[in-house]
Amino acid sequence: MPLEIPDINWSLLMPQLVIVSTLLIVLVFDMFDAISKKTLGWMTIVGAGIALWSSIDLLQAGTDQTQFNEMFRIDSYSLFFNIIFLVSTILVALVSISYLGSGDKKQGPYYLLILLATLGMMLMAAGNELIIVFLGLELMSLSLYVLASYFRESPASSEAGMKYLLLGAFASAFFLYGIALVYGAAGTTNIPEIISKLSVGDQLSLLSESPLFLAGIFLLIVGFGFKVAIVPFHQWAPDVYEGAPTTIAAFISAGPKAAGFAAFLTIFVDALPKLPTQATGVIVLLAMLTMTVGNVIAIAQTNIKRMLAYSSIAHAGYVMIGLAAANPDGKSSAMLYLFIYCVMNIGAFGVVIMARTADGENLMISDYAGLGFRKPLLAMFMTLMLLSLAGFPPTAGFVGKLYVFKSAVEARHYWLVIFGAINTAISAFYYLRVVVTMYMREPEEELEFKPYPPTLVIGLVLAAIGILLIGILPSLLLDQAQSAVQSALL
Amino acid sequence: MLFNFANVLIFLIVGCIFVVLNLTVSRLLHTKLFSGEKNIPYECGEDPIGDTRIKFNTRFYVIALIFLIFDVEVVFLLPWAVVFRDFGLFAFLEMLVFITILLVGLAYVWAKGDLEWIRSTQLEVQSIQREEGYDN
Amino acid sequence: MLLSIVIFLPLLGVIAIALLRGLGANAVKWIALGIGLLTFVISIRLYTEFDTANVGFQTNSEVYQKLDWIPGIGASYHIGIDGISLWLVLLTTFLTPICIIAAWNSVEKGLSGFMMSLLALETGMLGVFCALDLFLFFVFWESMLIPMYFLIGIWGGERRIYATIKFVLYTMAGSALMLVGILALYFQNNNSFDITTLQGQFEPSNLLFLAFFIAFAIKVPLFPFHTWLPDAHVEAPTVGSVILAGVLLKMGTYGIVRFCLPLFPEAAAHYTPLIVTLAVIGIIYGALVAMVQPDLKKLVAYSSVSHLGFVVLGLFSQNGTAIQGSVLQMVNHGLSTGALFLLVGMIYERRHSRMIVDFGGLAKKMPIFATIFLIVTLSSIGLPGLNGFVGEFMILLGSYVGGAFSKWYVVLATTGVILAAVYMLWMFQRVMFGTPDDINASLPDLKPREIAVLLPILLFIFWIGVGPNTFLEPMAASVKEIEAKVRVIPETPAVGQVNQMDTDDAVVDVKTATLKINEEEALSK
Repeated sequence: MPLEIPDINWSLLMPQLVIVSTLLIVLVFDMFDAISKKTLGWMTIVGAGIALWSSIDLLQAGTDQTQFNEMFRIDSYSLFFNIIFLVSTILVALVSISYLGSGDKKQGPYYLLILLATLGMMLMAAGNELIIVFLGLELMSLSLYVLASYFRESPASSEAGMKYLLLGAFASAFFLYGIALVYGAAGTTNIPEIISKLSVGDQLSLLSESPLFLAGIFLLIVGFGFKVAIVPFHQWAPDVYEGAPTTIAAFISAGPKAAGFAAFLTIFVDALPKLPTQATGVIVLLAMLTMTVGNVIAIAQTNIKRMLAYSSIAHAGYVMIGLAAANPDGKSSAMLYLFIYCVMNIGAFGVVIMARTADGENLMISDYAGLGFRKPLLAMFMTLMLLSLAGFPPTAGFVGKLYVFKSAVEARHYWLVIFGAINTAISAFYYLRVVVTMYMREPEEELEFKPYPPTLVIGLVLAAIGILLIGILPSLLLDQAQSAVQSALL
Repeated sequence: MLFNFANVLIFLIVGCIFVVLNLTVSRLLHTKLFSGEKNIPYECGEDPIGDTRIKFNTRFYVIALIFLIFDVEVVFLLPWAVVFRDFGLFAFLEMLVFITILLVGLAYVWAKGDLEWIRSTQLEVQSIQREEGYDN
Repeated sequence: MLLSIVIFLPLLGVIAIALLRGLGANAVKWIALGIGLLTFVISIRLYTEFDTANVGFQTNSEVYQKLDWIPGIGASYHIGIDGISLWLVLLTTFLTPICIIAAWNSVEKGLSGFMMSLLALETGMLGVFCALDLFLFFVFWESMLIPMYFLIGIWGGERRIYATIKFVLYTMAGSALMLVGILALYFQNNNSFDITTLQGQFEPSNLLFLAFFIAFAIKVPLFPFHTWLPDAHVEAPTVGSVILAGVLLKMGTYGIVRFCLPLFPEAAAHYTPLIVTLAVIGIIYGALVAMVQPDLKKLVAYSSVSHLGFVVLGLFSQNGTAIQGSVLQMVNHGLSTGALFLLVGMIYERRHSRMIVDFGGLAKKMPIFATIFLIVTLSSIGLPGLNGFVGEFMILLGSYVGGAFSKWYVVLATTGVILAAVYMLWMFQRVMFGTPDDINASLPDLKPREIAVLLPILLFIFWIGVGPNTFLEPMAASVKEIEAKVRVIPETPAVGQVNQMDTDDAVVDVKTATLKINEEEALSK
């Protein structure tokens, strides 16, 4: 059998290649103790920035191709997700530089792992093949396990890493088993091929009702469910977010969730209409459960990181609405929502980092009392992020939610939308409670806050501008998301 | 198609019967004598002493991981060697890049001191003092 | 452009204050006042340029604007006014500078934040009244919550946190349903949020009607949804109460006129008996509860529930006169209740109490205060010659003569007028007459700044009372159009010449109404 080298167009792989090179450069520079660890952070930012620029460049050129024997997809869809990941990475790196300081020897691997995780996410979004998706998933997850337990000396951080590792590995096993069963039933791991095999002409094929295939699909849902933390597979999230370093909590809640959904959407939005209606029912049910459980439990939290953890669970539920809609609008609305969610969630965690005193972070919501007038900048950022998370106009969160709801109404999931809308009102309660504490309660004790590190402020300003800009002129992003889905349809 | 599995099924049944039969026969035939020796976990061999849970140096894992990486590299190198002639320079460069990346990784591990079997604990002490890096 | 300037000028003020707040409290106040007044002055041009012959929205390019905003989902920046929104816009721009002056010395902490919230609120409210795009409408509707939330929560009374959260959650629960309704309309309107093209039957009309109506009923507030209102009013700072009563509540009734009635006439007719029953319950219940309130602010708050019951009653009557009366009554209620809250705030600043029992004999020591208070009280009761009478009279007349529901509703509602006289005059008597105790005797009368706050409102109270045509004329065409859309009962006699009516018939009825008032005054003493 003659072997042929697949024709590789390197320019299409620029974003990934840039990240790999940055990774290697960071690796090399980390070997020298003389180089300040902050430099590594800046290298990460520059590298991710270049990758972001080349992704945008490719997106604008309307690239729509596959590479490596159709295993790898470079189209508007994967490029849009690249933008989400890279923006998250840049924001997290900006926030991290001051969080970690300049001298610690351990910081080299920190940025390294962040870059590796980013690469994993990019693979997941670009995967046209279940195996590639799994590869990306593992690359991302393994990096995150280490990052979650990055503060080795802190028992909470170690616990977070351990829990994440055990449950994550469990989820990966489910996912892999799901791939195996799907392969067994469909005879291929290529996603478009699987989907095309589901129907013959206008009729659904036998495959769509084969128990083996449905079992595989179910396991895939479970696997993804763990990764993106939807109820009832969410239990790890609050513990991990609480214990992990705050920057990493921000990172885990943003990029990896988007990556999980990137793969989730690729498979399910096109497959759902061709599966028995029960499959859609399961997704709708999961979406309702996720929103409600996330929001209701968040009300009871006193620790702000745990509250944000439950809120991020609830937000996964909103994205699921877009998924359940299973139409082009649903797909693009989920993409838009993920982008907005990543920016505002990292922003919210950034403010938590900003509210630091000499003895560590203030994680109790009650510690924020009276900050509205004593720390106006901090309180303003926090208010903006929380209002956006709650979905008040004119912030980006509102646009995201509205667009998601719109897609579900289009798919006639009225109850789902009513559920989502009521949940929005519930969520306003606990988001606003933090605002209430900041502006309307008097502090019990005077806390001495550390001065704001400039990089953190830069990161938050960028996030804030993004949120307001998208909130007022959503077309900037919406058109991109819509055209991304259009191209995927062709 | 199911029929193809019939011999497997027969094999399974025969196997089960064989085991149960032998156990039953031996139970019926053997003499019943008890002594203290019979109650220890290993009737013959070493006497177990101490806790089964022993501390294991974590460095073994590090070494094992590094070994594993190069082990896998060899798995990748073998098929490459087979087609090397057909692809020529391209294959050569590809493998060069691959091995360079691995070498950088090795150098990194070396520079970080993870290849030293005996390591100074100075690093850990420092980082503990640093208290989660709040030094800004 | 004119309308856009009016809407966004206050927002510009917010930015200006944010940037210039380093200049000190005085500068912030003057900037806020300057912006507020400028907005009002510019908004007067909306009235002078108004074309009364135009049935729908004004087509003048100064006022009407449509720009692409989010073409991806068919939302546009689309604003305009008709005869109904014109008055609410003017009411908003009129009350805001008054509020700024009223808050001149009463804000202790975070003055710049206070002024910023107030101006941001103005933009939100104006946007709601002017938006001709459902998406834009919803954006303004929701975004106006945030400044109000801060106004009550930061500068409010003791239980402010409870009150402000309750206010936000009630409103959000309502708007959540409305959002679903808006999206459902969107798909039936050829994927567009444009309000002006919304026509024909929408399915399922009953559910859609309820989705919108509940959101608006919470805002009004209609009887079973009213519980947030007393809390919010009592805890809000004076200015917050004024804006809340003056403008925010009108957003509910405005929503009913703009969406519920013309879009779902059949459903509106279907639910009319239920809604009118609730409105009448609200009128009587609000009045009865107001009667027994020991707290001045709570009394005024419950009187709002009662007054807005009239407005809802009129709106669902399918009768032009009554609808016109309702729209006028929205403005009237904004003026007189706003003035009442201002007066209560002024007396609270002096006495640091709002309990009626703490007062007595104020009339002797504070003659100017007492006079103004009396005029506003009478306006709220509906004394002929003052604004309240015109609105309430038109509502009752219209719904009695041509209402889509039984005349008994109107009869019952009329008892609300009598009850209003009872609780307002009784309150007035307890606060103003009698002999003052030591503390009350030492209270100073109104300062020139405070008189300046109240005089413009008094001017309009008299103006609407004496020459309501100035106000009725511009809205006549728009109301007629609404009436034509909601009319589902053909046999209702058409009430022609709305304007004619209140010159001819009103004269006759002024006498009977005056008699009625006299009786009531006798009763309460």
